[in-house]
Amino acid sequence: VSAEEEQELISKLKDPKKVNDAFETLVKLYQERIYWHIRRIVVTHEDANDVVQNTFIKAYKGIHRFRAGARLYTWLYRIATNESITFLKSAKRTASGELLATANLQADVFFDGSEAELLLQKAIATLPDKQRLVFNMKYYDDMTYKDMSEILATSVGALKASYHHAVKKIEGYVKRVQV
Amino acid sequence: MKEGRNKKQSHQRKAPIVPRTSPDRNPFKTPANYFAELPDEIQYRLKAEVSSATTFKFEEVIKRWVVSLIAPKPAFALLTILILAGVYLSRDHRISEQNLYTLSPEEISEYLEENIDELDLRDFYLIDPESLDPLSSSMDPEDLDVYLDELIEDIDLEMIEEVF
Repeated sequence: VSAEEEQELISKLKDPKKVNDAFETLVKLYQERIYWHIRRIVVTHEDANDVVQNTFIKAYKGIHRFRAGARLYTWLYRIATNESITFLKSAKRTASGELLATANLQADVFFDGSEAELLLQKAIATLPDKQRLVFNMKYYDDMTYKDMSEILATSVGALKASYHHAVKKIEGYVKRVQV
Repeated sequence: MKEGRNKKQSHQRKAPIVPRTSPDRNPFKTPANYFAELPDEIQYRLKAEVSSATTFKFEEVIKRWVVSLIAPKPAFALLTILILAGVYLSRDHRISEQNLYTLSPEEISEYLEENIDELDLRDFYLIDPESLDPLSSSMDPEDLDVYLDELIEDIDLEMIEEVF
């Protein structure tokens, strides 16, 4: 989406007469990116579906708070991240620290990863929430640290360190399991 | 194309973490037509939430209105207190008959001076003495006899015998 198109969409979202059509456009534009961001955090499709719907509903209700000069993309990511973290606080973890959803991933009909991919997901699931977020956003979404900094309200230096620690922990987990 | 290659190189450089995995391959799936149906699902939920929020607001307005009718309001309570206080303060705090025995003659005369003015005395003098006492000295002796006869007839003699 070009800067001009985004500005036009923002002005329509703030116009009570055009907000419904503009909101539908917003959902269609960003639903897949937001869904996959959430899905990597909460793991199961059912949970991701709930969280993605909550995210867009929050965005609709809070569109009047969207500040001029910000980008819809980072604003939606921030809402999605907050919603995901809120969900994770109530999610159960196994004794080893993994998310319960990841422990059951083999039985999940919406996961068709290989053994190696399952192992990677289990390793990611052992990370603290913030590190997991940073890892997913960098590794899978290939997001710049600058954008991540805006979304997570964390300095670029701290994000780099967080990513580095996450990679080390995943490598350590994989080595331990494969031995 | 160049951008895609750069992205892949970036991934390979930053995360050669688990062999036979790639950040470009997504092992997660969604139900068929999920993204085609998601906008409608969100719109449906949004309408339901807006509708329930509107209903809630309407119910809240009705509830507040009913409560305002039946619940004692602070202003009403204050008004009641003021009325009661006014009634109490405007009461004629006359000395009761019982309390009179505890008063000294000086206190009684002081009270009379304070509370009985000339107007009260004038009203007192205007009262016809005969209307207060039929045995007044101004009564005609014949009328007095008639009055006494009537009074005696009214007395029940049997009742007097019982008393004695």
